[in-house]
Amino acid sequence: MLLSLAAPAQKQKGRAAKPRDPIVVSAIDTNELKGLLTQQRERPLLVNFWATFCDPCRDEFPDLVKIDKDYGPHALEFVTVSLDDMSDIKTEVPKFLDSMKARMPAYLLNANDPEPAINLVDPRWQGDLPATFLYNEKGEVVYKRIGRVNPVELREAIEKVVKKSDGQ
Amino acid sequence: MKTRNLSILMASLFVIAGAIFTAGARAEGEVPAPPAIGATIEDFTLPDVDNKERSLKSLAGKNGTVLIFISVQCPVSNAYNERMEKLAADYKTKGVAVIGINSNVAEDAAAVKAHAEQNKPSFPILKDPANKIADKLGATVTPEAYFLDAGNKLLYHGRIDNARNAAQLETSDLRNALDAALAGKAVEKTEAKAFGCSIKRA
Repeated sequence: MLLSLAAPAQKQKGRAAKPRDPIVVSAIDTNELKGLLTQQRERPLLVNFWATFCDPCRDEFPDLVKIDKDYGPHALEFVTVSLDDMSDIKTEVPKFLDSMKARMPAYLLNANDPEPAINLVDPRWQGDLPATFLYNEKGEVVYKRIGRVNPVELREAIEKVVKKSDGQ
Repeated sequence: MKTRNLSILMASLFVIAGAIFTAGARAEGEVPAPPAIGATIEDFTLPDVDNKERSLKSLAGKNGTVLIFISVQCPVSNAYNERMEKLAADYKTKGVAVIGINSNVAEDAAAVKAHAEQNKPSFPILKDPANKIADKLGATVTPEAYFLDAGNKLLYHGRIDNARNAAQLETSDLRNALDAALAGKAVEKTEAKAFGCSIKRA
């Protein structure tokens, strides 16, 4: 079950001119999130925590979509995790993602209490959004940004870890 | 020699200029750290929705005060409007005052007043221009709560409870802290991470 988390219901079939299906957002609980972050991987993992009610989250999304287009899915695994309410999983969240033309796998944290999930990701993270974490293929955090990402900095961080992956 | 001295002077001027431009500037996303639990919070004065200056001292409850950073537009903060009102009503009789603080630079005094008139909170709402008090308390999101005892010592900092959706309520962290303190007991959980919308800073 956990191994399938990286490819939720909708599979990407390529990035050509095929008409886009609406994005499907999958619920992820705290245990599943832990599995996602700690599972064995062949590529680095970029995780962006966001919410539709978070203005800087919305503002940075175009930069994230460009990064996904440039690096994913072959060189970089990139997922987003929304901290919106579960009631928005089929409405506001996919609506926003579709408006951004975001195609990276999208999750929504399904947890009555978000604190264990926040502590799981980073005990020093207060839960403020947006928050972006880059993990190398060993699962080590190599880049962290609380607040709106600086796309230049993020790309530099991705380049370092992607190059290392290519070199192996 | 003159060229060397001029170079040194120019380099010095650049360093000084850099220090001036960066002094007081905050890197994006950087918020001052909150005071430690047990720290005493200094009195402060902020304007209320009628632009009248109100001090923490004048609004404090005899048994303590709860400061809650709130927002006009944040859906998470607004999801707590009823709970905040009930909190204020429940603990007023126990000598604990609630004060709402709006530190969002994007929400001006008029918007804060209109929001207060619409929601009619029983507790005062103060506007924190230039987010000075948010910075002093290291507040990052709305809603975010601070419980001070009668001597303004910080006993609890963080979320009001575990869930934006009241139907998923499991742990009322702020109330638990209040109840413990009012019973003369130590607060067990002094911090619980607040979640909500980032406070928009100047």
